[in-house]
Amino acid sequence: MEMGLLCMSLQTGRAAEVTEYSDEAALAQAVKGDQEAFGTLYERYVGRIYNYVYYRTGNHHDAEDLTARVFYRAIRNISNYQDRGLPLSAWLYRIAHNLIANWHRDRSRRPEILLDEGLAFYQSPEHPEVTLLQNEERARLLKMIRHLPPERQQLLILKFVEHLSNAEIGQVMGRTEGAVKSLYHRTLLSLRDDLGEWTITEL
Amino acid sequence: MGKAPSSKNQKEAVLGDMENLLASTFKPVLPRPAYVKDLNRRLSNYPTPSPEVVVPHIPRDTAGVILGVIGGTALLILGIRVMIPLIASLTTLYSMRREMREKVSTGLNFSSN
Repeated sequence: MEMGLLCMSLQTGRAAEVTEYSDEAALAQAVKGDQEAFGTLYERYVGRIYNYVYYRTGNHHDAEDLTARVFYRAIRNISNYQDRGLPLSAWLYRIAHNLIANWHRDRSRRPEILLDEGLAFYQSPEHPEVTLLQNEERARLLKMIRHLPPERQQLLILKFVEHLSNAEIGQVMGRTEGAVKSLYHRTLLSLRDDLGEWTITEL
Repeated sequence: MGKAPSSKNQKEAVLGDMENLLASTFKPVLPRPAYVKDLNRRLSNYPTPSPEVVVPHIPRDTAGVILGVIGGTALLILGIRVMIPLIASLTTLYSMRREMREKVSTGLNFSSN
């Protein structure tokens, strides 16, 4: 009922008056070509997609470029969107995942991906030396993560940046919750082995 | 016996440490507000395609072949049905003409005798 009213208000061009409406309502309008509704979805998801792309590429420049491409592809294909019971975010993350895979393929001949701007490192209130050490270790860890298979990177980013549950990650990755849990465990063990016992105790 | 739980606990502790390390490493980043605004503006000016009308897909070639075969068969049957009475009529006419000729020739023979 509420959804119906919201849809009606959107249809009558009073979208601006509606402060809170569900993804489903906005999506239904966006599928019909309502750009305002698409804009609402964009504002809701641009940060999440940007975060995801940023941690998969390692720099802001490519994150901006690829995020824009994700939304351009989404707006081109939104009219053909088919509701399969998955959240819209799953669709957007899959677009992002595919574009990033292409991006990595295109850049595979290049020697190294640039890790710019300290990758969101922070000033700790502790001593500068401690901050520096921690940032170095984080940079090392991020570098290791970037060498993991793409699906493992995807899993870690969705879990630690987006704070999605295993079930939600499963929806994005097209896997069962159990398969995600198993992959997560294997990924942690693999990272631990790569990082070495001493690093963990250091931090 | 007592070694297994201890080893399990140790493993869980190490994995917990890894989780903490990852949680402190992955921090949300914010895109530049100017970028977000500019992309929003560009997207709002992007021509959105209208929803496609879904029609059942029938290959044109296949449909043409089927229609051609049906049409050809119908024409053939119709042609045969027209030709049969026509041939029968022509045959009748031909035999009538032959009979008349025979009658005429026998009549002439009688008159000459």
